[in-house]
Amino acid sequence: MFNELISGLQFVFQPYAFLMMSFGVMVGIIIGAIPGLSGSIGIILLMPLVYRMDSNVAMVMLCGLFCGSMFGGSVAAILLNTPGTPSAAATVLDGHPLARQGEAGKAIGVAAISSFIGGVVSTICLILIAPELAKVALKFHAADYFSLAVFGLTIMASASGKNMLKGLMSGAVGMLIATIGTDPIVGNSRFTFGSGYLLNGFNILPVLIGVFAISEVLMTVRTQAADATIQEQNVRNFFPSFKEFKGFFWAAIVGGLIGVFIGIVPGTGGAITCFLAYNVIQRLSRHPEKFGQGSLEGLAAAESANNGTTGGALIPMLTLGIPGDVVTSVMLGALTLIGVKVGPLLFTNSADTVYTIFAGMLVIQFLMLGLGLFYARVSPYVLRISQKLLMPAVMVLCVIGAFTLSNNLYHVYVAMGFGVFGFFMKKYGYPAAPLVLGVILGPMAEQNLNRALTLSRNDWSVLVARPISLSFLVLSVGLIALALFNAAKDAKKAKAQDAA
Amino acid sequence: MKKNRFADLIIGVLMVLLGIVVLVLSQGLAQAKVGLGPAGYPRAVAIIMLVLGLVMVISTLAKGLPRMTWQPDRQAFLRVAGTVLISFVYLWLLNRIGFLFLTPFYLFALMWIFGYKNLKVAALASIGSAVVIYLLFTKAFMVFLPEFSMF
Repeated sequence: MFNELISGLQFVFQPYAFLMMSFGVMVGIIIGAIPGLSGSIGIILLMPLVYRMDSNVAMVMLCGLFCGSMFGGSVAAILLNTPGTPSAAATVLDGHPLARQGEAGKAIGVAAISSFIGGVVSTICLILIAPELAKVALKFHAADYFSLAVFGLTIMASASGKNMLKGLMSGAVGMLIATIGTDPIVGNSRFTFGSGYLLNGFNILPVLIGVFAISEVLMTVRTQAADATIQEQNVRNFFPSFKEFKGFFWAAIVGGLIGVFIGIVPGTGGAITCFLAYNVIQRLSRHPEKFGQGSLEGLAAAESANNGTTGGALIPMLTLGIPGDVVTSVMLGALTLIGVKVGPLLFTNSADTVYTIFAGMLVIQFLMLGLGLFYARVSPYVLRISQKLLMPAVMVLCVIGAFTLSNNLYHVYVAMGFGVFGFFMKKYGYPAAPLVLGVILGPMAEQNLNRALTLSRNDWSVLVARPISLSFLVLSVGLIALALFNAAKDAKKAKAQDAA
Repeated sequence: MKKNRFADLIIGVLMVLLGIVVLVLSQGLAQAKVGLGPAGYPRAVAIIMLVLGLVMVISTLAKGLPRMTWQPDRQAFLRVAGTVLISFVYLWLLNRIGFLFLTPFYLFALMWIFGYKNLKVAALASIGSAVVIYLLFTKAFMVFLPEFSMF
């Protein structure tokens, strides 16, 4: 393992790889700091570059963007009292009070140091856990993969919104979209209605651009929200004293570990994790009364936890092909597009890619610390740029992203169509991530179910005969039952409220 | 929240209808004696959609529908519809007029719809962004973008 890691480090320190990785981190920090944009949109905007690159360089650049966006969200949370990304929601609680006390520089410094600690903890866990999990996943049969896809979809649906039923509906529509085109079993055309364009189905890129980025632009134009005002801040003196560092170091370590282990669970992500870590650290702290008033421990817990999820979320994505959160689901789409097949075979067939990612993740944490502190100095100026100027440019970048897929406008029209569809989904509270996952996991589910049934001569009991498959199915059924139970409970509650 | 119940009801019904349409369409696909065949998976997805749609309809009706008092935000609707319409017109013209000449107008129109008040800054930002994006993608990233063409 050690030798492979050294080879990975040699690769990421090659000038081109290092430059693109730094570019990814910087773009991630800037995108993450802008409220309304997120890591997933950042990946989408970089797509025109990604599929012209060596796949290993592309992967470390995307990992850099992922980690950078996690930290970037904290800058807006501290300076604007508005989290740049959902993962920085808990950072607002102590970060902005510090800024109001004139300590914005220190708050950003503590956020950067804690993100670094959380990122390093999560990368170490990624390096230790992922290869072992991949060994287990190598023993999976077709039935296990089918059940895993079902589990991935149900858990993403359960975690992506208040109403799980809506998440499941969104996932089902994604699975339906995946059936359009040439079927993967015998090669017949399906639901193409005679259109040559539809023979290859919908490419994942226009779907991603539409439901994540264009829909966000449309949501912004709908609300036409006023730009957040930024107060004059002294964004200097980033470094806390040694005594202060000793005070929050333990919180950053614990927060990072919580981030990793929650991040491993598919469908969770930074938003849930940062609040969980914040609450745990508040309970363990000697000064819980300071939380919410500018506590460095609280800030460190929230920031290390959300960066801790990065390595955690990559574990199921790399080993099982199931993304850990929304950003990794978009990243999975991007990797599918450039021909990187994630899953346990990646560890045996392309160990160099895996260890390049591991090495990249380690180096990214250092880059994030350095570039993050550099960005902090200019952030008050960047954050003053109006969203009303920025969002139209994002729209143009979306058009370019979809256009460059095959240098024709068909994919741009598709992206625009999915953008309108995604807008209505957002407006009525239907999460987009399960839809994308349905499109990505649909073919995997179909091919493996077909294989399992063919091998068993149409014996459906094969799905419950194997313990791994059975476990995934039991968990999925449990989640669906929970969704139905909650739907019934909500209906009762709403009726009671209406009566009152 | 209450007005969303109408939307949920309509979406639930649409989901059921879509499930039925997919079930009917999948009858025309080849069947397999062993394994799923081309029809098996879409049929399974259609049944899932039917069930989920029905649960949505039933749970929404169980909550009770309030009296229809929904009044759409006309301005918001016009802004979104305008953005979509202008975007489709932009795409239609893109291969004819080219990225560099057309994009500043598109950006300016979007900035106006977004409610940016300072039109001089918007005009400068539109031209500046279009030129920077064009040069960045065509010169630095070697990405082909539509050019002006008379034919």
